[in-house]
Amino acid sequence: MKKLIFTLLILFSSLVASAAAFDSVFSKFKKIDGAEYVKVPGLLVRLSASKFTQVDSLPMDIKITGIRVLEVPKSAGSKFDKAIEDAGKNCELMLETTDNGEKAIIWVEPKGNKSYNKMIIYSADDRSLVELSGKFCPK
Amino acid sequence: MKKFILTLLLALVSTVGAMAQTKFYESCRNNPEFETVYIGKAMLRMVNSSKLHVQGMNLNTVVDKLESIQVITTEKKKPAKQLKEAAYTEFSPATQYEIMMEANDNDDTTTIFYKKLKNNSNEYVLINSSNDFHETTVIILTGSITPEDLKNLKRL
Repeated sequence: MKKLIFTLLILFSSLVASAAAFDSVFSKFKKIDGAEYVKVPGLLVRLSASKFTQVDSLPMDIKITGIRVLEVPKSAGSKFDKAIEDAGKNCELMLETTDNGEKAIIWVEPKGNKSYNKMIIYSADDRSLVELSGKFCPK
Repeated sequence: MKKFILTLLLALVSTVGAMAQTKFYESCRNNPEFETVYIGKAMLRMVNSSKLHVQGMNLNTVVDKLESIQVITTEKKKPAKQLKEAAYTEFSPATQYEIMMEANDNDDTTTIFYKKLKNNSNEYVLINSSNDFHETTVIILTGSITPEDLKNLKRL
């Protein structure tokens, strides 16, 4: 019984780590001086983004239920980069591109086999992190 | 005990999803002289769902089996030489990569390497370098694509 509880705890902790991957980045860096943090309330998202279910040429059904945006000052650059990289290890890397030292990364957080419940977009150029919550289903 | 090991493995697998980048890509992605692109399974799944035809070939069957695409490229003289040397050191028969194809055309060289990985997965590496244009491109494809799949690509 002890073994079962222990193994369940390990399994559960790994899932929790994945779900809260970027939560810690948002909660830690939104407090630093010069950081800009915007959380769009669910009601507002439902009013404005509920009609936004498609992106041109992207075969994906999108339903956005939450948006968070964080931009940190240059001084937090390397620490922020490190925190982002660490958090990204717990998500699925969708796309990464670097060009002339500029970097843009998109992660997704899987929900089941065929859909994702979070999309996280990071632009190293202006040190901004955007998190879209909801349901993203490739067609 | 078996259950314990199995659950432990499941827990580990669920946390290593993002560790799909090759060491070579990892070493290049922080070099500002190189442009790099990583396309993961999530992105490829979307590509697969639409019809993908390149130069009259239906690539749907191949894309379905792809796990990731990694591209490293540079168009500067010194970095191009550096990337070319690093790629031919990393991917060579000495490191268990088999040469599938090699083509030389004046100052343009293209080599395709192949390596069988664990879990029925394969890795294909294409290195293209052009001395004329000081350009080197390395494309790494990983997935369960077999050399037979490539042979069976049908022209539309």
